[in-house]
Parts: sequence; structure tokens; C-alpha cells
Amino acid sequence: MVYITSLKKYFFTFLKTTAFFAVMLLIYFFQMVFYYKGNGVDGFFVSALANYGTFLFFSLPLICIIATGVYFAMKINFDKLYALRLIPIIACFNALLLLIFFVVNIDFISVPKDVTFKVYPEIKSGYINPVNRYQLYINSTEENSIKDGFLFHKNAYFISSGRVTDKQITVRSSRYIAAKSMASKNSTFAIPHEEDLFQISHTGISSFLFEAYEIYIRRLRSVFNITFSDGGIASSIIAIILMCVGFFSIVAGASFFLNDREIHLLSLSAIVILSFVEAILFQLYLSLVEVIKLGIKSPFWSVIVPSLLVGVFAGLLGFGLIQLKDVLKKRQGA
Amino acid sequence: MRKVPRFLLVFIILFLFALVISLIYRLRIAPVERVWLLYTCIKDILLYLPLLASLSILWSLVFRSKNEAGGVSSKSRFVFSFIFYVIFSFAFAFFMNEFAISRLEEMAYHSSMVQKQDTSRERLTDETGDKFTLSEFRNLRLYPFKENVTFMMGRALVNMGKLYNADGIFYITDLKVIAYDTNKNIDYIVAGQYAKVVDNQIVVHNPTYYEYSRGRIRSTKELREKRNIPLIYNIKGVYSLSSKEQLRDISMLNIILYYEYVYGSKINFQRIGNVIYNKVSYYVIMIFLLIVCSSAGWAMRNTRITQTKDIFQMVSFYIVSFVVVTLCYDLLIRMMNMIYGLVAL
Repeated sequence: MVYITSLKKYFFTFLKTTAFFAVMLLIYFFQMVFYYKGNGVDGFFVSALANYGTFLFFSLPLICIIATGVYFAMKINFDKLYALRLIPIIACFNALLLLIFFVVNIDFISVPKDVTFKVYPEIKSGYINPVNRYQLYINSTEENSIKDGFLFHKNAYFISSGRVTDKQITVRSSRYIAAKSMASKNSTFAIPHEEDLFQISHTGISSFLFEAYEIYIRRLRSVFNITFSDGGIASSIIAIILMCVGFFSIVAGASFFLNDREIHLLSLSAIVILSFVEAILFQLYLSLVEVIKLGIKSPFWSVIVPSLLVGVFAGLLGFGLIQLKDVLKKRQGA
Repeated sequence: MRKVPRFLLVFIILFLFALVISLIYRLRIAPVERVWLLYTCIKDILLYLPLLASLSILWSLVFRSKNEAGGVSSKSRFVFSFIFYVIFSFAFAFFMNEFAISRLEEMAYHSSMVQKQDTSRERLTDETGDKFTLSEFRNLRLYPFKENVTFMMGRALVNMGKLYNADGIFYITDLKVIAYDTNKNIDYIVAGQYAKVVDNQIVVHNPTYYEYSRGRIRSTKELREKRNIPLIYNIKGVYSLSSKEQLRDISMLNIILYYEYVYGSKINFQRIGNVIYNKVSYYVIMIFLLIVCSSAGWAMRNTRITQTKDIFQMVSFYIVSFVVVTLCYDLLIRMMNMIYGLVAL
């Protein structure tokens, strides 16, 4: 029963972390909506939402690592035997999620670069319309054709006729007023009728971080594919579980050292930093299986045996960390 | 240390830090002309200002100081500090954005003109009033100007080829006034090459007067005298609300001060609408971030004083809080951009 409660508690921690990620990744969603809308893609909202969901799905390994770190540092009190029994359960739960991450084959569009889109300002009758460097006063119009008005650009031109299309305004004039005189001269103006959409500038730090993050998750996924795809689905399931138990025991063991609730926010950020370091190590850890093939011919065992070895060693490392914490705690108590 | 002085200290340190970074960036990596340096740096800092203010609030609230007592009184003190933070940061941002930056731009522009012409600055004084001579117009090349300024004044259409701002005295070249009658037909046209604004009146030097009746010219008169045309708007508003090229920035203060020009001039202010939206979003984002950061900092403040052994936690807190607040800031900016894009595109 106590395990079910712990698992439930972990699940809520996981959900909270996911919610945090979902909020932060909204940057990508907004960018996608803006990008699709600017390019005139039909159903832009749904496509952006689908891409956003996929991006969130790709963040699953990092969410697992952070949630495990936060859970073992913040949510439970340190008790050696209890921790040793709880870690495999949490690790198996994480392994299931990572298995889904490995099996489901979807992809998303890369984070779009910032582009400026053009807008076509409305030309109003009875108003002065600033278009490009020209000032266009329109006295009367009929649908898209200008009947009467003035065009100001150095001189004031009497408009005799004109036409407004989506991208261009064409104006014909036969007379103009200069500074000292009025003169007759036929002239035609073709004015580009578009303006840059003026946006609030952002700091640029988020774009940089997102690019780095996208490279990371794509590489992690390829590492997963390279490592586990040779031996068939059964061996990869067992291998992922073995690897995960080892890895998450290290994560849990390391985060027990940051269990300090008096400086809550500080410990939390320390866990986040630690989790990012662990996430970078995670792909190296996974590729260890590819390195230690041990010359086994059978594809089934060639994945499982190295993962068993790596998993056991990592598990021992995690056990060592927990033992160290226990010893330190006893010494402090004495 | 109390919370408010600590907040100010952190804020000033962050501000100076941002200034140094911006100076290094603008001097080494993306160099700008020296006269524009200060303007560009302040502009850079203003982009990061909501971030700096929120971070200084967060950092000053989270850490516990030695002489700080817990209990009931600390909560009321927090409310006071919170109101102070928000009002101070907002006032600072508003002052910098709406007042200081436009002054800096004008100053930088004038300095660059003086530098190009390689002459010392000659100050114009408005002693001549409406008895001006054309010699005054020779010094104008040193002063900032706006091109092709056009607006409606009642039923009259006013176009200024160039509107110079010579230290608060406004000169106009290539003035045309086109007056319509009630049936939207041209009533008369006044054109003059030189004009000056004196006491809310445009004084035109030797204007040409075209009289119209039923859409046709009836008579043309070249006058050899000065004529006054009453100006119903404040010329400062006309100057500050028109743009040299594409409008990038405009002061909200000017929009509030010269609202009668904004409403009466019949200019299609679509562009200004975009700029105002961006400005308002900037302030809304700023206040939102301040509120979120102060409540988070207060809710999750430390209950003990940090020691030397917490150095890893402290450093990682500085990094993570910076990254998270930056992400939130960018998130809100992108949301606002997206909302405008959905409407405008």
C-alpha cells in the first residue's frame, strides 16, 4: 500500500513537471502559430498544436529525470531501506514512459527562425494614408479605384485616377503644385502597398536555448534508435528497463544530497541544474551499450547482456551514493 | 539589510552590469557610431528592463538577512515593499521609454548632423518672431527635421515638405495648404516656400494664393507679404507624432498630451496603433512579471541564512532563475506578437 501511495505522489510530481514544461514550450507553440499564420497555412492552429504536442512528447526523458530528482530530494524523507525498495518502482515507471518515447515514431518541425511578415494597411477614404514615403489623401473612392485626392511626395500631386490592389497602389496625375508654381505634367506612381509587421523585440536568449534543446532531444532519440533497434522489441524492452533502473538510481542517489527544505527555491534550482547535467550524461550512458558489445553474435543477447552489465554497475553507483548519504546522516546525528 | 534598499542595490548592480555588457557589445561586436552609442545602449537596456527588475525583486526577496524577524509584521512590510517595487519599476521604465529615449534620439541626431557638417552648433533664438528673414533658414541644415508631414486641420489639408525643430522653434519649407469647402470641392490653395511657426500661427513668407470656384482655378495671386494661417494643433505634437521613415517608436506621453491632434488630424494611424499595442504589451508584460516574481519569491523564501556550504545551490539558483524568468518574458512577448499577428495578418 505504501508503495502505491509513493507512486501516486511521484505521479503528481511528474504531472507538475510536465505542466511546467508545457508552459515553457508554449514559446514554440506561439512561434509555430505565428509562422503558419504568416505563411497562410490552412488549419494553422491544429497543425501548430500537433507540433507542440510532439515537442512536449520529445521532452519526456528530461521530464522524467527532473521529476525523479525533485521527488527524491523534496517529497520523501531519507530512509535507506525504503529508498532502496522505492527506486526500482519509480525507475520502472520511468522506463515505461521512455519505452513509449522509443516506440512511438512521430516527428515535429524545427523551431522556425524569426521572420518579418508583410501587412497591407487599409486605404481609407477621407483620410491621409501614409504609404511608404508617400502621403496619400483620398477624397472619394469607388470600390478599389481612387477618384479624387492628393499625393504628397516633395510636390503635391492632384490625383486624376488611381487603383488599389493587394500589393500596389497605382496613381495617375496630370498636375502638381510645386513650392512656387502650379504645373501640368503627366506622371504615374506605382507605390508598393505593404509594410513590415512591427513586432515587440524579444531577448533572443530563448531562441538560442530552444535551438540547443532541439539538437539535444533529436540526438537523444537517435541514440535510442541506434542502441535498442537491433535486437527486436522484446530485447529492447528488457534492455531499457535494465538501463533505466541503473540510471535513475544514480539520479535518486545524487538528489538525496540536495534535500534541504529551508532553502527551498535554491535546492530546487540545484536539482534542475543537476538534472540537466544528468540529461547530458544520459545519452553517453545509453551509448555505452553500443560500445560494450562483447562480441555476442545473437542480436537478442547482444543488447541485453551489455545493458545488464551497465545497469548493474550504475545501480551499484546509485547504491553507493545512498550508502554515503546514510553514513553522513548517522555521523551528523551522532 | 532591509528588503527595499537591497532591491535597489541589486537593481542598480544589474543595471550597471547590463550597461557594461551592452557597451562591450556595441563597441566590439556590433559597432555603432559614437554619437548613437548612448541611445543604442539605453535602448538595449530597455529591452531587458522587465527582466532586470523582476530578477532583482526575486533575488532580494528569496535570501534571508541576519536581522530579519519573522512573524506577522513581516507580511505587512512585504506588501509595502511589493507596492514600492512595482511602482518604482514601472515609473522608471515609463520615464526611460517615453521621455528619456526620445530626448536622447534628438540629441544624438543633432550631434551627428553637426559632426557631418563640421561646424560648431549655432543656437537659434526666437528674437525675430514673425518678422523673420530668410537668412534664418540657412542654419536649419544642422537641425533635425521630419519630411512630408501631412495632416488635416478642419477641412484644410496641410502638407509640409520639411518641418525643422530648431531648439523649440519650428521652421517649415515647402508648405501647401489645400482648403476644401463643405461639398468636398477645393476652395483655395496656399503654397509657400518658407514659413515659420509663431504663437500657434504659421507665418508664410510670400505665399502664392490660388482661388478656386466649382473645382476650377479662378485666380492666381503671388503675394509680396507675410500671411498668417492659424494652427489649431500644438506644433510639438505634429512634429513628434510624424516620422522620418517608417515609424518605429513613439512616445505614449506625446499621444496623451496631443490627443486632439491624434483624433483631429485624420491620419490613418494604423502604424501608430501597432506601436501603441507593442508599448502597452511591454508594460503589461512587465507588471505581470513583477507580480509573478515577487509572489514566487515571497512564497518560497529561505527560512535560514545561506552559508558557504550552499554555494552550489546559490549559483544554480542565480542561473536557473535567470533562465526561467527570461523564458517567461520571451513567452509573453511571443504571445503578444502572435495575438497581433492573428489579427493583422
